[in-house]
Amino acid sequence: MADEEDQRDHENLEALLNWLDPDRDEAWKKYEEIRKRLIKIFTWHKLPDAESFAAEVLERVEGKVTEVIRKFSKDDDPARYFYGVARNVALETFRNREKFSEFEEKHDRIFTPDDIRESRNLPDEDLDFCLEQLSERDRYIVLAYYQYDQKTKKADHDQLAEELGMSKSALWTKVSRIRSSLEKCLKAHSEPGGEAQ
Amino acid sequence: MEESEAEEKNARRFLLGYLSEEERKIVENRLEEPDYLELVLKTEHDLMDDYIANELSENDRLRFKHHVLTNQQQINELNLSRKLRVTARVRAAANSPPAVTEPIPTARKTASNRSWHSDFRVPIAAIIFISIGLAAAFAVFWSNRSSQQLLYEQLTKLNTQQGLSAEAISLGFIIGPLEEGLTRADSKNSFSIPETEKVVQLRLQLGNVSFQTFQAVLQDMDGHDIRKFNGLRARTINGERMMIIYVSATDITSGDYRVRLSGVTQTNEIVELGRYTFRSVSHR
Repeated sequence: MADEEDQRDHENLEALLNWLDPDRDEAWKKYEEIRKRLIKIFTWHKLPDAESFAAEVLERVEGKVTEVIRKFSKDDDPARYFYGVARNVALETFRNREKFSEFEEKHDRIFTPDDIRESRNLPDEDLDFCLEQLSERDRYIVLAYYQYDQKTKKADHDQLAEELGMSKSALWTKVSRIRSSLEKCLKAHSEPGGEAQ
Repeated sequence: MEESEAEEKNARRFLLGYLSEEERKIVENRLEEPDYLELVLKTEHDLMDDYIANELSENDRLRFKHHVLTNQQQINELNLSRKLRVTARVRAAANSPPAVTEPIPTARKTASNRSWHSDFRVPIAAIIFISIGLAAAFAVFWSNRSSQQLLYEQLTKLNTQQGLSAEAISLGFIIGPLEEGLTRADSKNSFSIPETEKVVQLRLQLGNVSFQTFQAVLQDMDGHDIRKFNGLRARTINGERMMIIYVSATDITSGDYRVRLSGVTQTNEIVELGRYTFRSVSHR
């Protein structure tokens, strides 16, 4: 019984990844991007433990993927479906909150700023290492993006986008993806015995 | 373009918690749209940049901390933006060419029947000798500057590193432990630094204060800053909690000094902890 379930889960995940992109590496990247955006959505909904909620959305979509793919338009972005499920999960959570006050007591506490550990304005060896793992072009783009003058930030970014032959939104998407790579590397590099991927 | 700016403005208000319940629901419903989601993401990123650059009003700064920095993932994003900004600017500064402030004058061309070298033999020789002398002086200066610079870099590393080796703990001439609050130097806090010593260890009693990191400023008794130290850490030596600050001996000639110690909170606020006074009777 457990084997059958595992098999089904595996098939669903395969179908999901194929739906996101025929190239497996690209599919995983999109999956990870969607997961991060789901976490953002739940963060903005002020729900604690946004990661768990994001995982729930992914599980729900995976469970119904064959049905979803059949009904979903090929021209539409699959991410849209995930975000729609996220909205439903958030609404359900708020409805349950109204019903069960214990839930509100237990889960209403939001991480407070005093618990937060912000870093100082110092160069970082781990970041230097991870920047060197990027391609030359990606490293150039991300450093050029953050090199702006605060007073002329928009103009500086416009200029960079033009230099790279991209729209501003494409530049932001590119920088966002490079940041994801850096985050992944920083996490691996800072773990004891870890190596950057 | 105007619509996009209006949407960005609204997204900003959403993130900072300015919207009414109804307005919030409209934005939350729109988060299904991938393009709109990207716009809100970009707006949040820009808000983080503004927070880092201290561009937010006091009210917005508080709202940002309350509504945006709500979990560790948000903090990690903020920290990454901060580090990228610092790294990008440091690398840009390191790669920029030196500024040319004055145009280099060109020699005047004058007509003359005489050959140029017979008229200018002595001045040219003088120029050559002066140039050699200047080059030699510069080489000595650069060598000295380099070793002092290296010392400062090494001391900075010691001051900010996590743990101290036994060797580091016994490095240099030790001043202290100094008590907080003494306003005058007397026999208790006077020290004679040997001429041959290059490094001085200032030890300050800390007590039970608890901060992630500390900042210290070495001043003369007129209140002029001599050197600032950031990223300092509390140490425990023989069961006693203290601050150890490694200083170049060249920064402490004969005279009275003061160290102003501050704690740095997790939100980067500076909290002054106290002042420590001492006297150097070095033979420099």
